[in-house]
Order: sequence, then structure tokens, then C-alpha cells
Amino acid sequence: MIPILQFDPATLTLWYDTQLLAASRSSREVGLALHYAIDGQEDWLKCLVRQQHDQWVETRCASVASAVWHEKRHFLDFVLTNYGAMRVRQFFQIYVNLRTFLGITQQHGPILVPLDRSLDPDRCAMMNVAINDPDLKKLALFVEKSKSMILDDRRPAPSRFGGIEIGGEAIFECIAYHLQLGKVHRVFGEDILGRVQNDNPSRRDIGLKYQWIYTVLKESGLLEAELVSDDVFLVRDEPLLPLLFAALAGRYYGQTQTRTESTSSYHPGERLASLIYHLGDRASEYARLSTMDAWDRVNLACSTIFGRSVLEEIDADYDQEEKRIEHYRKAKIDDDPLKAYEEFHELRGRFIRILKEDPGQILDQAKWSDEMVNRLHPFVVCAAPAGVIGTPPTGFSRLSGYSHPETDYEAVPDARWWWSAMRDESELEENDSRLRLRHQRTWIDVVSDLAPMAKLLIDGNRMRSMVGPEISAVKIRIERQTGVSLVVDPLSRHPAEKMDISHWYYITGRDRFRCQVTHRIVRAPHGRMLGPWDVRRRPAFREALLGYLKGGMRQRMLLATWRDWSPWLVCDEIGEIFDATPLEHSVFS
Amino acid sequence: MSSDRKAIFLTIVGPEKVIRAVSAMEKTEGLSVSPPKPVDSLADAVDSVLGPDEIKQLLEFATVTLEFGTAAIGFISALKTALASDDATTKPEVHVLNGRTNEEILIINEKTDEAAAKKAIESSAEK
Repeated sequence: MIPILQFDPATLTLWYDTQLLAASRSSREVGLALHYAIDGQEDWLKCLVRQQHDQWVETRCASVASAVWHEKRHFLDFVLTNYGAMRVRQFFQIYVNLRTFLGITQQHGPILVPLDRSLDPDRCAMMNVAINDPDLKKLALFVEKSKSMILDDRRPAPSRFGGIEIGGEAIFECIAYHLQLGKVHRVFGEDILGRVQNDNPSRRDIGLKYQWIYTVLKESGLLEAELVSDDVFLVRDEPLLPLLFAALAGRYYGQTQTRTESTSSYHPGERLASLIYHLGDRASEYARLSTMDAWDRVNLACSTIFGRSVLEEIDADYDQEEKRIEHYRKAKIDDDPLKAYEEFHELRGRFIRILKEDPGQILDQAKWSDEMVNRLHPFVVCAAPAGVIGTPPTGFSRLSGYSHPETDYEAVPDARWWWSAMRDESELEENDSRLRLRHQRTWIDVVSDLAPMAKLLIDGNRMRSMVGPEISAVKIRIERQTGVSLVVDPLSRHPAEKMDISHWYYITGRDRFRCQVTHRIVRAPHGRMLGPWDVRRRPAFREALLGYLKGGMRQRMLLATWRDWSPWLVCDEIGEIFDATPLEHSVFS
Repeated sequence: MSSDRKAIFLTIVGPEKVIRAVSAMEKTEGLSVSPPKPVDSLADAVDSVLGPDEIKQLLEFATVTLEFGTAAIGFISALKTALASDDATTKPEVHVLNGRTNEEILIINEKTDEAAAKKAIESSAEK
């Protein structure tokens, strides 16, 4: 899958692929829809969509805007909820330890990444590495524990539809999808809503991933929902979000859990099951409650079965977070991650106040749509996986790129490029209605340096990123800075790439492209999309390309292979040549 | 595959239930299987709904250390037993990879011929 828009929990930023957007049909209009939705300029957005005579463009503009609303909801939920804050904290725990890590590694032998693999003696024996330092071991244990927690949360539960996820991340998706569709309906109307819902080639998978909650709650009697066609539900949604929010108020920081035969206060999936069981006695009554009454009911239910209401769980978690920050301050932890975490905590406090003073803004679909979503402003990163020659445009600050040293860039413009840049934001005013993190400068450091390092330690090169080199570049930097050798575990040398040219045709709305090797026109359904990591794992393919070209063209292709981390679009013949060239497994080690 | 004449290192990747079953098997002469771990951290960015999606299968892996000879047959047999006992509608399979290079050696399912599998594993060690 090639993502056009993503929310990154490691940095709390919204990423969009500017080059994929630029390759789209009516790229100007689709790009405008994206930016209007990001900036909360709803009147402009409505105007833009209304003006479109082409139904594809009209639908796609609405879809892109709704995708932004979807990601903005993730931004809120990752900051506000206990589950979300736990996920963010897993990254920050590594950020605050990075300086120590870099210091220790200078004296250490080769280290295996992902770091938790270093705890496996068989794996270490296989790779001729060992982890000796107790602080390194502690960090490795933390990575192992974090992964285990997420796996427990994301393990599918059996159902007659097959295994379905019902944990925190799955609940996040349900909330975000539900609210995005609600907003589409309110802003654009029913006709466009129908088309946005159909604007996806994997409708069945959408149903499983985003709508399982309707089925589960309907069958429990807690939600009035009707399946009006194969995969379209008509839902009375007033009591939906309060219940899901209660599930997300898990208890972390090693606090004592409440566990009985039918209840568990821990993971969101367990909490949800506990609440469904408890509320099931008077299910039909719950299903007819208003949002506010449902919120009161779930708070009471949580008090009864877990010993704390939802708000009490959130307060307890926030309090623990405050203590954690105080501990970092006393330990004189590295300034940058501490500042960022303090800002996260501050923003979380604002969201908690809103939840207490006006819960409808967060839990009521209409109020969220009309009053809240346009106030949310995560920092925005423009990703250009193919690299853009030169420097980012005015209004953007470079996050990653390359500048060849001692070069006259006027004479050799190709010697400098950028891959990602953050959109500049003005300082947050005191009575600013925007809900965002405070100082952009702090978060630029998080995105450009801390997060890639943490991702390397957590997942090697395997964590998917819109910009491929951000992680492998940081590996080179750490090795140069510390002298240590970071050995990437063979299983984690590259992300799992599943490239399907039909995805590109769908995302861009195009029916043809020019082969990036032969320059011939390729028409749908033909052509191949070659993953950037896969291309680099076949050095013989690259050598063959370079061997075919001469002089300036050869030089440009060489630079392009360094710079271009986007999928390559090629004709079927080049695809066959690619398939025939052998994989070199030691690349990215 | 690594072979310093003592040990062959493999990575086996498959569904959680199967890998855990194999990891739980008793250490025998010439064969050990490490505790299972998730292949992915599952902590990566959250994609938008826009665009084709895929249901991600949760996979686990284990490191297998075995010696040339009968240990390989015992391991393959244990793997097939674990696969056969999985009651999933679509019968699962396990990818057996060269531990050091990650090159795929073979895919094992409940119908795999054990002798052929052993040969494939041992031949790749000699490359």
C-alpha cells in the first residue's frame, strides 16, 4: 500500500506525500482540498468541492478532506486517551534515553537492532554480537516489553468473520472512521457521502477494520444499527463514543488492575468486553441514551466494575505522567525530548479540560464536527520520497535531505535535495483557539533526529516510513558519531513492501504513466511498481541501468538512484528484467 | 545459512500459534528454538482510509539452532505437527529462512516432504 496521508504517533505529526498528490488527476484541486481541511477552512473547502463538474474530482476532494479529519481525530485520541498517551510514551521513553545510549555505545562492541533482539542469546550467537552493558539491556528490555504490550492489544479476537482486532488501535480506527463519515455527511451531504464510502477498492477490508464495532455493539444490543446494504450501516450513534472512550481509559504505569472473571481494567479490548458484559443487562436502554447520558452511564459503569470512573482513570494517568516528567527534570534528562514531552503533557491537559467541561466536543459526532475538528492543528510534514532538488519552498523547514559538501549548487543543482519538510507555523498565542503543540522548533528536532533513531532501535529498518532513508541515514550518523557498529537484524533490514500498480492507478486516478526507465507510455492495467527498498536490494538491476546509459544521463541516473526513494513506475518488460535480477540479501545490514 | 560445522541458524516465520508451539518444544540434542517474538513492532504510522488497505497478519518468528543430521528431521516434523494442529480454515505455513541472510530456503506446510525439506536446509548451509 502506498500511503498518501499518515499520522505518526512517534512525532504526533500529519504526513502527506506531496509527489503522489502531484501525480494525481486534478492535482491542484485535490491538493487544495487537503490544505483547506488541514487549515480548517471549511467554507473554502465547500466552495472548492461544489465547483467541480467532474464527479471523480468532486469525490476525491471530499475523500482527501475526510482523510485529514480522520487523521486529526487520531491526533486528539493519541494525546488525550490513556491508551494513546501510553503509545506516545513508548517513544518518549526511548528519546530521553538516546543520549545515554549514544554514550554507552561508544565503548561497546557491535549492537544488534532492533534492540530487543539483543536479548536473545541464539540471535546474538548467530550474528556474533553480545549486549553487556546493564543500561543497554534495560533499554532493550523496555523495547521488548513495549512490543509485547502492543501485540497483546492487537492480537485478533476470533469471530465468525475471521480474526478481528478489537484493541486500542482498532478502536481508534473505528472512532476516526465514524467521525470522518459523519463530517462528510454534514459538510457535503448524503450523495457525496455515499461516493466517499465507495471511493475505496478494498471495501471488505474497510468493513473489517473500521466497522466491526457496529456489528459487535448491535449484536450486544448496545447500539441501534441497521445494515442497509452489503457494507453500509445506518447507526444511531449517540451512545457510541462514550463507550469506546471508556475502553481507551486503560490503567498503565504499573498500577494495580481490577480483574475478575468478567472484567479487566487493562487493555482496551478487555475493557470493552467488560463494559459490554456489564451494560448488557440494560442494553436496549443504553442504546437509546443521548451522548451525555451515555457518558454518565459509562463513567458509572467503570466506577462499578473497575473501581474508577473514566475521568478518574484519565486523571490518575495524567498524574502519573506529571510524576514521570518531574522525574525526568530531576534526572536532568536531555533538554529536547523533555521540552517536547512537557508540551505534549500541556496539550493533553487542555484536551482533558475540554472533556470535563464540554464532553460533547469530543464525544458527540455533531459537536465534534462543527466545533472541534477545525481547531485541531497537528504539525504537518510534507514528504517527497523521490526527493526534490534544491531547498524546500518558502514556508517549510527542511527535516531530511542531502547536500553534497563543497559544491556550487548553482552549477550542480542536483547535488542538493530534500525529502521531508515541516510546514512553518506561527507562535501559539495565549488565547489561541487552535489546539496544537506549542513550539515547532522543539518538534522539528523530534521528527528529524529523535524519532528516526528510536524507530531504528525499535524496528531496525522495518518500520514503514513515507521517506525511506530517514532511518537508514540515522544509522550511518550514529555509527559515525559513536564509532559503534549497529548490526541490523536480517529480519528487519527493510520494510515489507507489497507494491501493486493498481493501487497507484486508483490513488492518482490516472490511467497511464511514462516508464521511468524506457520513457514509453504504459496504460492501465499494465505496468509495475517497484518498491524503493527492493530496487536497492537488486544492485545488478541498478548496474544494468547505469551500464545502458552514457555521460550526463548516466550521472543523473546515479544521482536519481541515491535520491529517489519513491516507488519506481516501469513498463512490464522492465518489471520482468527486475524480477530476473537476483536479490542481494546483505544490503542494509 | 551459517555453518561453522557446528550449528545451522534458521529463522522461522509464521502465525503466532504455530511459532509458539514450536518454541515450546523441549530442547533436544542438536536442536534449540528460541522464545517467539513478533516480527513487527506494530508501532508504525497510522495510514489514512484513502487507498487500498490490507489486513495485516500478525506474524512471529523464532531462531532455530540445529546441527546437521537427525536434528533437522526432528525439527521439521515438530513444525508439521504444529501446523497440522492449527484449526484455521486456511491451513497456515511457515517460512524457513537463512538466519544470517534472511534468504528464504523453503516454505513448510503440513504436506511438506520431510526428507526433501531436510535436504534443502542442509544444502543451503553448504552454499
